[in-house]
Amino acid sequence: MVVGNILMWAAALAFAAFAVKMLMHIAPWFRRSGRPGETHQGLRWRAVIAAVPEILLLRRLFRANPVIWLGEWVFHASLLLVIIRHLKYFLSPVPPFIWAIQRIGGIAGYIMPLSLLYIIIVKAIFNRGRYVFAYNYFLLAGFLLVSAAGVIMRTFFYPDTMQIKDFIAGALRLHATAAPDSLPFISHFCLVLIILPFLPTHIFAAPLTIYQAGKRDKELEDLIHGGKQE
Amino acid sequence: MAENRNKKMFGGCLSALQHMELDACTQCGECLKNCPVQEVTGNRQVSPPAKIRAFRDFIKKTRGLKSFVLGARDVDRGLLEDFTRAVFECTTCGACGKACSVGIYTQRLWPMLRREMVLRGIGPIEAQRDMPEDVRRTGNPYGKPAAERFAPWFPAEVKVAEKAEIGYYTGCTGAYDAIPMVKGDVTVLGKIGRPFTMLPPEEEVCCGFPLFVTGQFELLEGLVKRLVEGYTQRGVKTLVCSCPCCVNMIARDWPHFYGRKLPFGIRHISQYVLAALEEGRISPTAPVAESIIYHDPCYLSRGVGITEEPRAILKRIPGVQLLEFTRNRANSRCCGAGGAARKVFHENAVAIGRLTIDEAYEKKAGRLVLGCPACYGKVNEAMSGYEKQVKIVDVMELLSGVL
Repeated sequence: MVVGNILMWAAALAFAAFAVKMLMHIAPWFRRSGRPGETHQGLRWRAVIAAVPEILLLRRLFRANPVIWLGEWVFHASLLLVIIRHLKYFLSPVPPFIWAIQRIGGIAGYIMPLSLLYIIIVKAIFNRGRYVFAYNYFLLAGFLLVSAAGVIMRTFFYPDTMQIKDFIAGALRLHATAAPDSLPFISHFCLVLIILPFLPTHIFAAPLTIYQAGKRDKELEDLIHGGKQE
Repeated sequence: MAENRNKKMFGGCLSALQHMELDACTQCGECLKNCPVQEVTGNRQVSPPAKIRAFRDFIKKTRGLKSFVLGARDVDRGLLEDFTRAVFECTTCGACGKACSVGIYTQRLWPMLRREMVLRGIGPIEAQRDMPEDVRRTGNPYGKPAAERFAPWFPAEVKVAEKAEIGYYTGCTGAYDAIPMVKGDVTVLGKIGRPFTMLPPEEEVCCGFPLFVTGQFELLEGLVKRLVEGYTQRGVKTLVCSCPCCVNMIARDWPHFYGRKLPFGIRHISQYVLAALEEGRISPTAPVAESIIYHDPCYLSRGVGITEEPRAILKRIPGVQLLEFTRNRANSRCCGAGGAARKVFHENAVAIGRLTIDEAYEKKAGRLVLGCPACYGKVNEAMSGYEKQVKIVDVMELLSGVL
């Protein structure tokens, strides 16, 4: 119960740190426009539709570096599947689509650490390693440890799912329950809490800047071309 | 006093989108392979991700959670000076933004970061500081007399109308530093045969670009209003200009500083001349039996999206064989002259310019065709004393010789 209590408050603290950090970053995104050369910032549905494959396939990264793109795309896709798969611990009843992706989510859990290893190797050895910043390595290593702990747990020390679900349900209500009786789970959970406040702001900002870049490219065609002149 | 200023919140000059862009940078470093300053200096501090990271740190220190709770922390003056030097060493070519995996509009972000440093009294650096006073005194950032703006080179046979629907803006760099280029412009405009007007030399002041790109905005509104009103009084409906930086400034930023939509349209000279060629108003007759290579200026290709018109003009010249740089069009390599960095970092500019010369030379180009007065001046300078020699010519200079 003591461990459960500590973990619950640690989770609340980590989530609060993450949420406050993101809010502090997001606040200036809503500032008044009207600075020189600012492009129109409203949503344009055609541009939104055009941005969807750009964002989902990380096309800009593909154009810049297809070798690193392979690792990054596989990592982001597998992370998404793993997160969706983990929703079964947070939701009750569990929606059918989450049950439906359990198998593929499980496979993604094995692929994720491999993709992270690939990224680390490419960045460190082949890809101008001197320009990779320490923070990036910290995040990559953090995700690698979390995913490796997840793989070990799933493969060798499968914990009691019901215990996990009870613990998570209690933590979400800030009502302490006993932590699952599984050291791999506790390690996995603690590692997630450690990296949560350090998650990069690009997870929210990048889709929006990719959308804006697509819109800007389109506007460039009209800037001094076409029927707007003479 | 300076210490207190460094506690003031950073990011005040940035738009919402630019704040988003700072947050979006993944520090992947993909931009670095296209950065011309990196290519010649290898200085990590000048790299786009390092600049973004440094500025994020300044923001964090003055508006982050800790500063919210405990009060803003002072940003070390030395760090600010290093950052300022790095951000002013950039040529603002925008190649990093073109390669950016999250689409950061760096050609616009860097001038705004420079603006932030100017407002804090740290930037600009060295000779860049003299530009506002030069513009105030003489109307141009070179401090040269207005009387020398057109007189030394303007062809006597070209007639300029008092009023006309077509206006031509020379630009300061062309008028004082790349004379064959602007002489070619007005010669071609004269041969097209449509009346065009120009402002008198004392009225044709700086478009504001060098001040904008170095973050010194104070004179911009006055300059822009003066120019817009001058052209409006002359009945201009379309303003034609060959300088990519001026065109960029007019198309993107004049409406902001003018306060509303411009009363006329803006055309790059290549668009106007290509239309005249297509209409049969002019026709190149004398052949140029040479292979030539065209360099896309950063503010023309990435800035306003003009890449095909200059090529279409060159291809119409009989005998011309057009070669391409490996990096061309929107991915072109900077010539080293951009962003007013050349005023301070002369050695970088020459070294970057020589990368363009090297490729033109290796591809056995008979002539290196440039389309920007800043490139024209700087690449000519880079050629001086260099073992690889390629003849430099501007698009209109070349065309005016074969009409």
